[in-house]
Amino acid sequence: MSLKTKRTIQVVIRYTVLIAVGIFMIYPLLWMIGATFKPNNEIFSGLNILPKKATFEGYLNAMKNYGGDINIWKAMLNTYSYVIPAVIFTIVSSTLTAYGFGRFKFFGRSVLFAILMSTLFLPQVVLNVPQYIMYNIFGWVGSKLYLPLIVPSMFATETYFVFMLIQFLRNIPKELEEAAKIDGCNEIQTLIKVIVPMLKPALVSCALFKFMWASNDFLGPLLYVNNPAKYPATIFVKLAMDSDAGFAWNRILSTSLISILPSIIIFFIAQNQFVEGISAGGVKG
Amino acid sequence: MKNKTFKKVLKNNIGFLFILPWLIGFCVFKLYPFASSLYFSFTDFHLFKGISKYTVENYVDVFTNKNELKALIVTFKYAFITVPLKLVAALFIAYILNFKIKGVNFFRTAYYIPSILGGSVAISVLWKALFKDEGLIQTAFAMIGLHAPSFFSDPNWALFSISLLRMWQFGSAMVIFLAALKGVPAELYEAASIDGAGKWKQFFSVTVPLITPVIFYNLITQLVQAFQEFNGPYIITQGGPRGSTTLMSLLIYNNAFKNYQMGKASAQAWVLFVILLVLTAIAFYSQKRWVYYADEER
Repeated sequence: MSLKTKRTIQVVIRYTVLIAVGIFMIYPLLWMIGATFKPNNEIFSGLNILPKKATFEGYLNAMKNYGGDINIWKAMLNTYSYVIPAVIFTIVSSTLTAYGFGRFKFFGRSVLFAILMSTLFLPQVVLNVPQYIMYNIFGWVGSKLYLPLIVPSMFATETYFVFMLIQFLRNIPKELEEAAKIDGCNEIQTLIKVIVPMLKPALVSCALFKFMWASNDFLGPLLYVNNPAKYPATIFVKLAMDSDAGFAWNRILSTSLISILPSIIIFFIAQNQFVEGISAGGVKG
Repeated sequence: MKNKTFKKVLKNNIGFLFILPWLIGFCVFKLYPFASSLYFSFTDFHLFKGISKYTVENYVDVFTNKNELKALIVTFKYAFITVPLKLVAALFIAYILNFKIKGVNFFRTAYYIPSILGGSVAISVLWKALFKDEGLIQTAFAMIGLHAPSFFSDPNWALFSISLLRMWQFGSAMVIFLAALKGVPAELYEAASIDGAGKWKQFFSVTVPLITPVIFYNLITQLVQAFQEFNGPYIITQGGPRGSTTLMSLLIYNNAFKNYQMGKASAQAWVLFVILLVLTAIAFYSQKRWVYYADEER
């Protein structure tokens, strides 16, 4: 076999693998989209993505109330009413912490930094029970303001983001800050005028990940939201599935798809930031 | 005078003020819960009845009670099925994507979407639609004349069907691998190629040794995630059939938030935590042997 044929075969194999795996990754999602437009008796009758007889029945039913004071729109509004504050607080508190660790020497810095890093892999599962007990004492369980889902984000509790920002800060030269200092900026002015603009790509990545994770969070609301009118989309979708299972799959799938539509749109707008963010956080450790 | 020293101390430690919110958050939302859960784990704490005695029974039960032991075993099975397969898939696909591939961005996006959306309840619902009895996968099997297993109601299949959902989300690990592969200098491949090393040989003797820090990082993050998996089994199988998908996290949830046995649940969480600690420690100690850091002198 000549070298050239061998090369060609290698290239063909590569593309075949990529396309085959790609189908495995994407087909379920495309099928889901198609299924939301199918009548219920068609959904599981074949592997086709496009409906033979398109209908909006699924969507129309998805917008109906299941009873109680909640529907998909309200549930999504509930979701973003704590997701957006949590994103903003996470960014602010993580930036402050990263700035403190990344740019200053102070008493106990090395010990505190070691503590910070040790929490990077601290499993949430060991904290769930005692946190619940604590929030229960605080009176936060069932809080109308979603306090357990928002307040911790004010204190840079997501170590991953702090770590990512510190890594990013390390690669920013200090000259500009020194120039700012000579110009008479204090530490906070330097942070706002010099550091934040340069950190912007990393901050965008952090915001995007926090947005996705907080929107997808299921256990948090499951534990801390107990008023049906306050249910977020994740809980609503789970309940919709339980109450409809076996019957109206086009309704369940439509409800599900609507609930992740904002996430899908944001992913497509900002996919490069996602990829860069995850690469930066993971690689430079 | 005193004021002046205070100002000086403040000036020298101004960084401390920036990390203060984190420090408070660490103490309130992490350290205190962490410590108190260790304390609770040695009690019979019931959310409404309080503590009536101190005991080690909670820990003994994890290893002697049939259901609890089973959950532990199921958790190990789940992690040891999911993590290696996921990492191998991620590395393999990243390796292929690292060749000059046309439309690399398109493929990367396609592989990455499941990771971003996969954690949502909506995707668990989709998984149920795919693998349920008379669901899409069974339809597909039937079309080629095969009889498909009952993925979620057969105890032999349920755990695997749930782990597939996680494996399907290999994209984030893949993106990290891809970034690492881009960092491997091309000259090394050329040198290896001149020495007569084929693609496979290059992969195992050039690529893999150089990206071990990243393999190590991915291994630990994936292990920590897998041992805490909750959404999939809770939403899709509720731990069934016959406990075959009751992972530790599900058992902890049921004990704590259905039976209000906070002490018992805390002990189970601690067992899980110690297991993760041991696995991470093993990985860390063994890394001296297999992880290669470029700035290290050998």
